[in-house]
Amino acid sequence: MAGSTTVVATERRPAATVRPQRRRSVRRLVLERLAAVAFLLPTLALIGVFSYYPAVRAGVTAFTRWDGFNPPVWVGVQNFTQAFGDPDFLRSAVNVAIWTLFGVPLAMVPSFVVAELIFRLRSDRAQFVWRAVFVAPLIIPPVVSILIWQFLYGPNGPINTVLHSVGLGELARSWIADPKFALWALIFLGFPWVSSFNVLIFYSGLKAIPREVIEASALEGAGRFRQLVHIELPLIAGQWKLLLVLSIIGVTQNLTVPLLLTNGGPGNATLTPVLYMYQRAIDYGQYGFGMAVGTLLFVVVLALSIINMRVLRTRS
Amino acid sequence: MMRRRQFMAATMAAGAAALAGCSKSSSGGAGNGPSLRSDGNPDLTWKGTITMGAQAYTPALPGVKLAPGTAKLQEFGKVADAFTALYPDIKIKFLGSDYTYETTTMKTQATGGQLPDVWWQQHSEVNTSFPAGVCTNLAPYMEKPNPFIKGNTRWRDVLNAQSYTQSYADADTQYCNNGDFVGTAFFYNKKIFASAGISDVPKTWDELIAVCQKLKAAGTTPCAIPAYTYGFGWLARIFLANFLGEDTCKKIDAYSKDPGISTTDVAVAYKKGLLDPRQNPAVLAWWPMAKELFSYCDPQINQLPANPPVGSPNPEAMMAAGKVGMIYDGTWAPTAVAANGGGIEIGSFPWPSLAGSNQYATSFDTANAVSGPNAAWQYFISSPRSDTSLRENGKLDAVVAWMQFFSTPERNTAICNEYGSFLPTYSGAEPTKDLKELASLAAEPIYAMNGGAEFTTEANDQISKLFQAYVLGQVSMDDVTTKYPQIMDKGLQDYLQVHPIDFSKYS
Repeated sequence: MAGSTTVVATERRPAATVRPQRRRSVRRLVLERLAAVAFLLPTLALIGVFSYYPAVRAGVTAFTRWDGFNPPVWVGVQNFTQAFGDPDFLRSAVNVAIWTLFGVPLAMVPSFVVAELIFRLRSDRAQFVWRAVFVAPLIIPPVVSILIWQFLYGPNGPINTVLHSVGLGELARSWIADPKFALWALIFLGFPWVSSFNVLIFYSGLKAIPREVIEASALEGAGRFRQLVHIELPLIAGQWKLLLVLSIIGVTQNLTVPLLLTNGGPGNATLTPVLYMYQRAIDYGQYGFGMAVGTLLFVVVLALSIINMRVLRTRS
Repeated sequence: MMRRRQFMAATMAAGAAALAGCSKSSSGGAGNGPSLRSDGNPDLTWKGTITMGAQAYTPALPGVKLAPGTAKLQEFGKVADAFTALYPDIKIKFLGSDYTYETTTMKTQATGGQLPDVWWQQHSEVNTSFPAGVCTNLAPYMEKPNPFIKGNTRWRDVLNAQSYTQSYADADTQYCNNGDFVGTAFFYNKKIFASAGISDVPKTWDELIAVCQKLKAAGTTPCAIPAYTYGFGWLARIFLANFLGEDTCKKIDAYSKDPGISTTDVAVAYKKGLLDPRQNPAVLAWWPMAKELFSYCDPQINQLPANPPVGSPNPEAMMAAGKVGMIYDGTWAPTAVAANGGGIEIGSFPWPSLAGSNQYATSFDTANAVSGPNAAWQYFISSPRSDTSLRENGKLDAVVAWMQFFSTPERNTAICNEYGSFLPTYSGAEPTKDLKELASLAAEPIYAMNGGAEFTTEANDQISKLFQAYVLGQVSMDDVTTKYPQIMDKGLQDYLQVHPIDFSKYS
């Protein structure tokens, strides 16, 4: 008992010594925080000016009639009611729903399969080579890829050439100009739908699984398929969730593909809400209305993301 | 909630006030203009460089980039030299082919106050798609003499009266200096026609359909007309004026005091029911006929969207490749076909008579309704808001003087004829020999109207889409009958917000 008292007595420092030390650590903490803030401030300022301010401004301007040049006129919720009353907007919403339903799995599943196949390679060198092969297309500008597909889908493109050569010439058509096929042509653009970015995300998730877990499961008699279903898929659920959110956002806000390939046509066959927004704002000069559509898009994407996060919440 | 609303309202009010401040300073007007020198020319005090986007008439000058294959024109350059000789402190700088006149780019430039001083654009685009206030209103200037035309008492008297009316935004607002004319016709492949046993060009609607049938039977695609980009706009002008008849066209023309049908005339006619299909079935009666014609047209061309992607099939290329018997196109078509190679021999014939083709069809010849003042001499002056350099003291006067200087019948003749594809339309201007026939078209009354598609770009796009969907069989005539007036009603509503009309003034 006495010994323990002695120990305590020797560990306790005089108050006069403790206070400066505590002060020093508080000061250091404050300085560290200040340094962190100072380093973050330029980034925050830029994000604020170039990301948050336009978004807030768009939210406010959504309640006005504005041609982009003359002073905006306050119109309340008129832009929103007009959007919901416009059959073109509703058609664009249906189109994007179909695109999301088919496009999101296409964006994720093939990429996962490729990541899984690379992960299963025994040789690290082979993994490196195949990873490089699938990531290299990341450097190709998306517009180039779209223009290649425009050629492939064209009336004299390779798809039709193949159809003619195998005696299925009657199926040949201008794929993106036919209202029955145009949306599907856009959805299935990019075959074999292996996204370099998604492959990398899945692959990094797979690599993060402790090797011991997989080895232990093998010792317990689990085959490749059971390992996939019971170990790998659950342990990379975070990656699935992330890519699901990003894919939904990507499909919902995909302007480039329909703008460059079909401009929403023929008719409204490939019109999407973001293209609808673009046309109203840029082509028709209805910036207030366009911003109202943009605000609606933001709300929908946010809601989908929140639902997704809640539904797919992982135990970890 | 109230606080938030008040804050938002205050924010908008502040923004509006700030922008209004800009617009106030930009309200260009003719004022009294510069005083005249002893030689009778305006006394310009401003010194500097005027930038000009002359589009097809851009001269080949040092430092002016031209697209490959462009004719090396000289005339506008000579006119600029003559102006600089008169005003040595003022230079004219022409924009080269790197300036594309793309409307989105131009609208963005306008927002930033960076537009050139004088530029080309289609008047319909400016009137419907550009925000009000981007251009200087030329109407007050045009009511005064052009000092560079001897004996002229009112500048607008030199302009073709119909072109003037067709170009203006409303009776008091004229942004466009319109000085040339383009024609349209059917252009056909003589060899294909001969091999299909067609010896005479069609003169009536029935003959046109018969020609299509013969070409089809001979295994050739009879015709190619882009349903979206030209289909509605061009065919509406021909059919609508014909189906309404000459008397109704004259009545519509007479709403505004000026000759030629303006958007104001169309708005009044729509409001009075003459152009509203709910009250006048003739307005849509031509759609099934158009559908019949498009059934003989190339399906790929029929399906093209607005702004077709690069590499899409186009009528001129198809004709050059011998894949189509005829195309309905502008007077630029022969040049465009030749540019696509092939070296085929091309003939042309005007739109055939519609008399007897439908219960509403009349013998009124409306073939010239598609031809019109939609060519390369459509020049606009920016406003001091869309081109901040015009805020310099005296610059707007100098730019107006430059426009007046090049806008004389002699210079209109020289510049247009050197290019050769378009007809000069200033009073007293002489066309080239090749365009003499077109000159007679330009001299006749033109009753060109799109039934309301001219109200806004949105209305035009929506109607064109509906028309394309109809000819492709995607929507029925019942759908058209329902949707058409909805689109036009909204178009008129939007038009009136910018150009209010007191309908009670029109009996």
